[in-house]
Amino acid sequence: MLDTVAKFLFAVIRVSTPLIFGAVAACVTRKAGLLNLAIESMMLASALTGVLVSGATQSLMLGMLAGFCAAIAITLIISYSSFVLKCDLYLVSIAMNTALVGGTVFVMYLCTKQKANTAGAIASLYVGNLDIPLIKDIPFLGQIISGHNVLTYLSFVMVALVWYLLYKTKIGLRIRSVGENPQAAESVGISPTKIYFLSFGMSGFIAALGGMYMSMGYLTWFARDMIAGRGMISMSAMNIASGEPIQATLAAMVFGAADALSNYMQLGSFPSELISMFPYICTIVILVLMAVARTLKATVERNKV
Amino acid sequence: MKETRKIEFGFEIFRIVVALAIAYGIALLCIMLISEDPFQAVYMFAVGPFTSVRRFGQLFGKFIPYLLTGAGMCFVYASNRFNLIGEGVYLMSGCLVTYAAVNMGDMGLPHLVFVLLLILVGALTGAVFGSVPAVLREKMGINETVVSIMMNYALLYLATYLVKTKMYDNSITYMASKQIPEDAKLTALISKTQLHGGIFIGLIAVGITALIFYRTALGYDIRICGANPKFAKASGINMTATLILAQVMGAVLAGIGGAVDILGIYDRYMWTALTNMGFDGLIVAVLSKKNPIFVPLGAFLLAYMRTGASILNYTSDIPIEFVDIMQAIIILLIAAEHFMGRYKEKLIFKASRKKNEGVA
Repeated sequence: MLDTVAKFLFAVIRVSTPLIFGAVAACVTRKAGLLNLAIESMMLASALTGVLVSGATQSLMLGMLAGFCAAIAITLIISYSSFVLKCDLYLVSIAMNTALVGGTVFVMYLCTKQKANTAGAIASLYVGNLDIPLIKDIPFLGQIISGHNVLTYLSFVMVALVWYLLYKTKIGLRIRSVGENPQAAESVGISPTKIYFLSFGMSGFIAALGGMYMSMGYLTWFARDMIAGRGMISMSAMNIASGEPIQATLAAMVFGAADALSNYMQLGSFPSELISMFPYICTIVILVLMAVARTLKATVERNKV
Repeated sequence: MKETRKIEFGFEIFRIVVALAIAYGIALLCIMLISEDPFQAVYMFAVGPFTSVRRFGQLFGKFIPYLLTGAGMCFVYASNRFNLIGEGVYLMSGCLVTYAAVNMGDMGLPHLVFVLLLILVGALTGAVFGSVPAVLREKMGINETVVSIMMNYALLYLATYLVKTKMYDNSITYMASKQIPEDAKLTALISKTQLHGGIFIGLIAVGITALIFYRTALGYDIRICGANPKFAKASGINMTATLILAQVMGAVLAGIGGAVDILGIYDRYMWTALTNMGFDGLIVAVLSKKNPIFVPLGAFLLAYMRTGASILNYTSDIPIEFVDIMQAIIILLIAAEHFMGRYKEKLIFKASRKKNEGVA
């Protein structure tokens, strides 16, 4: 029994990793006052590029570098068209998502003549697992915490880094001030457009790690539409945490648990679809509860006066 | 002022044409570069949809639902709400309509009544699910984009669950519902093609949308709420009601779209992934610049592009997916206000200076 529980918790951490990266990525833009709906496309771009380049050059370093570049290129397109050409941000983001779902298949087909996945066609490299010395020998706990992918550990480091960046550095202060009130920030000489570009770029960098985890860690190949809504789930994890990286991580792990549970349930008779619905329904319910709480608080405060 | 408006209108059309030309140029360049037989490929992409009756029918099979989702997205887009619930509603409507059609098949209803009843089911599905993000947004201020995207995925899983548990056909090997009775289907206008009677429903819906937009107070209110919310509020328009109504109407049209599509060209319900139809509707609305009168044009253009690509997909070595990239380019260029904006300003400036010279 204990063994099953440990295995399940291990799986939760494993499937939560891309969600954590995505949620943290969404937090950065949210703090700058923008909703990042395009995490899905950033992840897809980096997942494919990472596989292709690492396969071609046989260098993990170059592969990951290319993955970052691909995701950041996506953010540049999005930022340029919405902040310079004044296109609706949501529209561009959604357009990007659909473009990348098809676009990655297109590029994959050009490179490998395959339309389903790159397994077998490209010998790409992947990021290995890490056994933590000492901890791995602790019963139960060791089973859960040790032996994960390096990127999984990096995701937790990234949460701390982003928190530090947002709350303890000058640039974080600027991002938050633009998010609170762009006009006020502009009046003291901070260019909101620059901050938007910057926060989207950082968001792309973090999301790229999530994408590469999917194709170079979780799996060792790229498959069509392999992100499958994970970008959206992580965006909603950020949303119910109102952009706070640590709470967003917790929310992402709850959603990850639902995902892991639905994987287990597919073996049994209980319909796994209903569990797959959980993150989505849960987000809506929490958003409603938060709105109700906000209204109640406002009423109480008004009555005080 | 009149002259400025004229320039702006002409300029919009010019800009759309340029955007389409750029996107097509890039697409053709891609085809040329990767195809082994580029001329055949370009021919298939550009002229393919018109080379046989069956292919032309295929174009209409896409055109009809685009009319409905496009008109629906006009409501949503004109009210300046980014509500994507059309996607989920489209799918759910297809699922519930199939369920209703399968279960009411042996009641012996007359063909027309049966079909209209089923379309009503689709519209109701749209109204029920579409009102959730709309009400949450207007009454509680929750971001409608987030809620609608979440609901789309939830509806996808719900529909899959319904098919698996309530409608599953054991006699086939793939996951699909039982067969839709012949009586429930929209009749094909040209037999053995996808051009079906739903086209009348689509055109009527577009007509009604245009009438509401430009001939009723409601349409005016919707457009004002979208274009200038502060002015709308100041002039005493009931914004909450107007905006909820606009978004629900958009969802209703998407629901009808799903119903018409499934009754028109499918034998069974078998969507296991999001259909992307709601998003295509948004593209149609962008192409037609939120003006329902131009929806048929936008819908035809998108259907033509998609059909050309799918013909290319099975006649040559080029995968259909490049259309998705092309689509994104078109959206970016058309929706970007500042794309060629300086040129427009120059034109307006010149025109007004000329006018002033005449006065002086």
